[in-house]
Amino acid sequence: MTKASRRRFLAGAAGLSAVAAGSAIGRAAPATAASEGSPASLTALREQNLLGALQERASGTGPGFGLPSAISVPVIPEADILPLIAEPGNDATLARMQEELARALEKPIGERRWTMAIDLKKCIGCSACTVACIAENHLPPGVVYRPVLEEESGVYPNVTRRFTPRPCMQCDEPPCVPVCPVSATYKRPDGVVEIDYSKCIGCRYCMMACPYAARYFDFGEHYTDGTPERQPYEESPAPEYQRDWSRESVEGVVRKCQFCVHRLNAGMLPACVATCIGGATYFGDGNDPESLVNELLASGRAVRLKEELGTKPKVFYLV
Amino acid sequence: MAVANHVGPRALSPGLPRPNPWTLALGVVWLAAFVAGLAGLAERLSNGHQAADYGSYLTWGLWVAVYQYLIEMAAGAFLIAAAISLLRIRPMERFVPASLLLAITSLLAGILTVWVDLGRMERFWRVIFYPNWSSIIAWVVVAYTAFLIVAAVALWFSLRAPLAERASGHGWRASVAKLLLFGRRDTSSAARARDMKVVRVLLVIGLLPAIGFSGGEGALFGVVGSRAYWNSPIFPIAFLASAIVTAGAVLTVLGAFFLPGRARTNGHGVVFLARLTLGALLALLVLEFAQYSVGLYGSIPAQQDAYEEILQGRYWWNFWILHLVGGAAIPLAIFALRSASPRWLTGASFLAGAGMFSVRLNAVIPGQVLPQLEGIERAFADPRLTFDYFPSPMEWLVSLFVASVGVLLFYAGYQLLPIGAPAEAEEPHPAALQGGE
Repeated sequence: MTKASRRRFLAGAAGLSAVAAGSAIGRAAPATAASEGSPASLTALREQNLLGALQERASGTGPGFGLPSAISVPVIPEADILPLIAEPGNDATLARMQEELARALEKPIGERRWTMAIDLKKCIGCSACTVACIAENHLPPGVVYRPVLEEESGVYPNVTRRFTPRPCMQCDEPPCVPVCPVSATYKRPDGVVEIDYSKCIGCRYCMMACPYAARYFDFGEHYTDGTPERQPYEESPAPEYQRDWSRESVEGVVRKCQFCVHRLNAGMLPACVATCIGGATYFGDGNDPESLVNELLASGRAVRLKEELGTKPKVFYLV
Repeated sequence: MAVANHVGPRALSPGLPRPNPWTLALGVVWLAAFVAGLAGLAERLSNGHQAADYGSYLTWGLWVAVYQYLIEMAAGAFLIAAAISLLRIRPMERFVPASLLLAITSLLAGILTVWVDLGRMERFWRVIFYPNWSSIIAWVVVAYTAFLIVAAVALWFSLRAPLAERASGHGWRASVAKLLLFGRRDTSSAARARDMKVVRVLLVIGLLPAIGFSGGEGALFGVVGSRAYWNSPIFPIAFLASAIVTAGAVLTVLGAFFLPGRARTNGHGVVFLARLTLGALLALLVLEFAQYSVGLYGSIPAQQDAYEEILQGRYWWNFWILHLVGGAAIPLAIFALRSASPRWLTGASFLAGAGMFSVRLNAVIPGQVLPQLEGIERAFADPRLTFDYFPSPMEWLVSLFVASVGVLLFYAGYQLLPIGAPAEAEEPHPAALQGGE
């Protein structure tokens, strides 16, 4: 099968799943960078909870989100939405992480240290996080911020499979940052490695330098290319870094996971965390000694990918 | 070294090659390549990288190899010009302007290639105005700029006296020569000697950026710790050796077939250049052997895998057939058996130079085919997320366009400038022709 025909084959399935997930998963109302961390904005964040954001999204009134007018989205009752948020994982766990997130947002940005822990014993390899991420960030074909690697080991009858979600590791010593010739990628004060899509020249040297293959080149493709009509959802802006990036503005640049900082700053957990069916992904402030992620990191189960490289990832795996 | 000792001004006079069927055929081939290349460029400009075959896991493809080939050619041509001039190899000095012109034009073509390879071509200026000095790319861009300035000024000084002579004539070439002279028409021996002195100083200055960006290109790979094959300190040195091979091969072919005075005066120059080319090839093979043997015998499986991929993987034919057999064994065999024949040595040089392209491909592509994380290509199904790669027709056509632009630039320079004319007024002394000074 040629690449073009494979593309057409995949377009249908992936496009459909992106639509489906996009209608269920909310994008936060963007907070401006200037207001980030201020007491007033934090109060607003608390008032504007995740439920509210989802309602807003479901009703199609969220800023910058353009649902095709032909699709009517019913307003979902609260009772139906709550299970979407809480049921998949553990209510108490999600609520705790949500509370810790709000606590972290009260601190200046430089004192936060966003950290992720993924429990490999809980991950069932459903790829819900992958699809949620694609929907949340409006990712085009060929760009996937959080694939889930599958590994089979053992000899029958003692065989097991392990699933390893692979977001950007948000390294403390990121090899991708110093190689960028135009300083388009850098570490934010909260430790997230950011790419300024308006500066990236698309040389792709950072992709070479990343030991985790966590960076993707946006080829400017669409799932509905080659179909009678390109669907509007593919043209909707990407919300990354709290900006509305038009489809054209991110074509030809390198993209990657950014821990959904647009959601974090709106008081919401990253899309992959909120949608994890097995409750396998934990998130929080590594600088908060009482945070859940810090408890998990101290469990003795935490390892990091390619530890020997000294990149110091902020994504930990619980084995 | 013996050389024909009747070098008359007539033999050195510049001008169009006499129209003959070969010239015509070459012109037709060039035009076809240019037009076909334009089609590829149109596709690239209208649809971005969509028609390319590389993806996000194997993300540097044919264009990066072409870019490096041309950049190495530029550095090698400059190094050869510097060696000829600084070591006072008098019979070879007629090759200095041709070498500098080749250095400038191939660098421009190389830069054009990497420009096309950028995802956002319109933002190229950011590398110049907002460089990140921790990136090797920023430094090589500085080196390119310095190199272009130094090489252009050196070329001007090396051609000033011949230009002054040409300016006294008639026709459009004389007008161009007048324009380029900026009023400096002194053709005395003293002025020529001054010019040559300046050229030598400039060539010394230019060594830094030339070695810098040639080795820097190797370092660009060498510093990538995430790729076991690339992460080797031998890469920058190997790139320098391959630069000499690439440029030496091109200059040998130019000297044998195209540069003025080829029949009577270039024969031994061609032999010299061919020997230099094949010597550098031998050095490159030694460096490669060191790199490969250490990588293979080391007890680090990730490194072994990378080398085994090159030797036995999907691109094995590129290493064994194109590089080792076609680009190394056959040229060296010719060198061993026909070491005094300009024709045979030209053929050997050509093969060695062409084989360097497979070396460039070998540096770029097999280095990427091993996944950074095992199974990453199976984690999400998408044609862009695989390690399969073979350049698409659009990639080949754009490469053809770049090559034809490079040829056009060189040919334009060759027509506008008295390339091949000696800057020195006096005939070289026969004794000097034997062994240098």
